[in-house]
Amino acid sequence: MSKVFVVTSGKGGVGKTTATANLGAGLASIGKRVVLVDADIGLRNLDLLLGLENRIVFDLVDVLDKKCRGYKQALIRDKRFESLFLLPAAQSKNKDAVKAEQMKELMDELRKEFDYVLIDCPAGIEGGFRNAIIGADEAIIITNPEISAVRDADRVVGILESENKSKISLIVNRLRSELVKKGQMLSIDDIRGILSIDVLGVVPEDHKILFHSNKGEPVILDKFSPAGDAYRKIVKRLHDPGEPHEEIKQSKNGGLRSFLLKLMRSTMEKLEKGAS
Amino acid sequence: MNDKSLDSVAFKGTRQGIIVSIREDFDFSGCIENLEVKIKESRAFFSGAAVSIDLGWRELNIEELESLLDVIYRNKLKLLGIVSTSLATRNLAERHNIKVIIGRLGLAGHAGRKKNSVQGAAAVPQPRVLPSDMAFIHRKIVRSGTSLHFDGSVIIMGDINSGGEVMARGDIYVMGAVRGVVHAGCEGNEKSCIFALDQQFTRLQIAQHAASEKDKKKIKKGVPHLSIVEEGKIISLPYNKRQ
Ligand SMILES: Nc1ncnc2c1ncn2[C@@H]1O[C@H](COP(=O)(O)OP(=O)(O)OP(=O)(O)O)[C@@H](O)[C@H]1O
Ligand SMILES: [Mg+2]
Repeated sequence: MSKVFVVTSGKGGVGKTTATANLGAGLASIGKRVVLVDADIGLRNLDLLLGLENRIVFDLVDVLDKKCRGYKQALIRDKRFESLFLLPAAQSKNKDAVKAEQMKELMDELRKEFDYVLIDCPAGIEGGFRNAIIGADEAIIITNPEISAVRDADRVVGILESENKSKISLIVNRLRSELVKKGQMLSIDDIRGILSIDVLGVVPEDHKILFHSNKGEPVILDKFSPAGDAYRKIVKRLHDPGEPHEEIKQSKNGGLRSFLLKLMRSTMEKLEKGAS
Repeated sequence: MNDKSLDSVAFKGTRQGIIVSIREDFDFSGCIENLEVKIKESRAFFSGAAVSIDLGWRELNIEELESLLDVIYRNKLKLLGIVSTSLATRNLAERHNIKVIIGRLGLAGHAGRKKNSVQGAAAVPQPRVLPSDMAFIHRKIVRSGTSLHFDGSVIIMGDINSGGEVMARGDIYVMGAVRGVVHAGCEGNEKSCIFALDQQFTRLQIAQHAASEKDKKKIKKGVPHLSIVEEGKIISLPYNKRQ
């Protein structure tokens, strides 16, 4: 069954585009048919990270405006993977050119052809964000271990919940465990404590990412990169949610809180059942 | 236009289209103006969209219905139908060949009423004001950007995150951490209290009193606390010491 994911964050520059490119390449490397939709209109980036910028003829706005024959004419096939495609964003056009309903229709068309549709969302919670989320079933939130990024992520999770997305999961990007140990950076437990959503994975800070981005080659293809390693695990977990989390220890603290919460919830469920 | 009247209309996107809820207790022409402003503000979200209009128990007259239809069609929206608990409104709409559903979603709740949406189209009868020995239960995390009002006491089953806000006429019990803003007794009842499993608020108020920095500093992280007003000041006590 095909899935449409939106990769989103609220705050800008936290690693949405990098994550989209890497997850796309990772899923394609295990044979999935994948299309990456760059919904960051006016600030096109995804093509660069994949090294495909020279091949763009038509873009997302052309497709929605029916300037070309269907989306297929705008798709660009990846150089490395047969089954990976990019639907590029428009660089020059106004982002108000896109209508939410059209976006949703397009995602429903793509879903018929591909196993995974990954939408790279623009920062913020305005129109461009709304257009990017409307056609998605699930969301992947990207955040950094810093308070402002987490608060923006919280805001976005609230909006996605009210839009009834079936699943919302989290990737914490740019974690520096040495700083966490010193108490100078939020830990995964801290972040999970605030956001209360499932953690899909943790990507460490990795200077190689910049180098790979400049080369147009996703870091997931680098066997020796810690970030690449983290993305490979996330890919496994995406298509098999049972995949274990080595890097995230189950937390022992917060015990009283979660205990009380569970107790209250089960008591109330019993009461409700009794009442009806 | 002030902020308060901007709340007279609320939206929710669904797979079938957008639900527009219009509050029952506001002047209708104001609501219509407000609706148009909001549609213009979120052009991309609305353009070409199919909408359902939730009117609650409001009884519309012909002029009002026509002004509503005018806004919808002028902004090139497709009208799916009207949700209403008022027989008069439904009859009027049917005479205009508009599909009607009996019910009330109340996304744009009355001020002071529990603001979160009621699932499903069936009207859920709720007392306007809760007796003081009862409480609302809110089963979701209060996330950044959310502001909730309760006309009585409330139990929040989850955290109130930084950037989130809860106000209640009565007490507030939080089965989680408070990181945002809490205001109990918000209409002046100093007897109200605030309990939380972890009291890490950005602002805590009971009636007209606000917790001071000094009081906040005394609070231990991760320890349940009860905050009350004593001699005109807010004090927060670790819960285990007050059995
Ligand atoms: N794990 C990481 N370690 C080091 N640098 C990273 C990591 N992840 C991303 N970056 C760097 O952070 C910068 C921003 O990344 P990216 O463009 O993916 O963010 P974005 O969320 O898509 O930004 P925008 O909101 O502008 O679209 C890039 O320079 C990227 O190389
Ligand atoms: Mg980006």
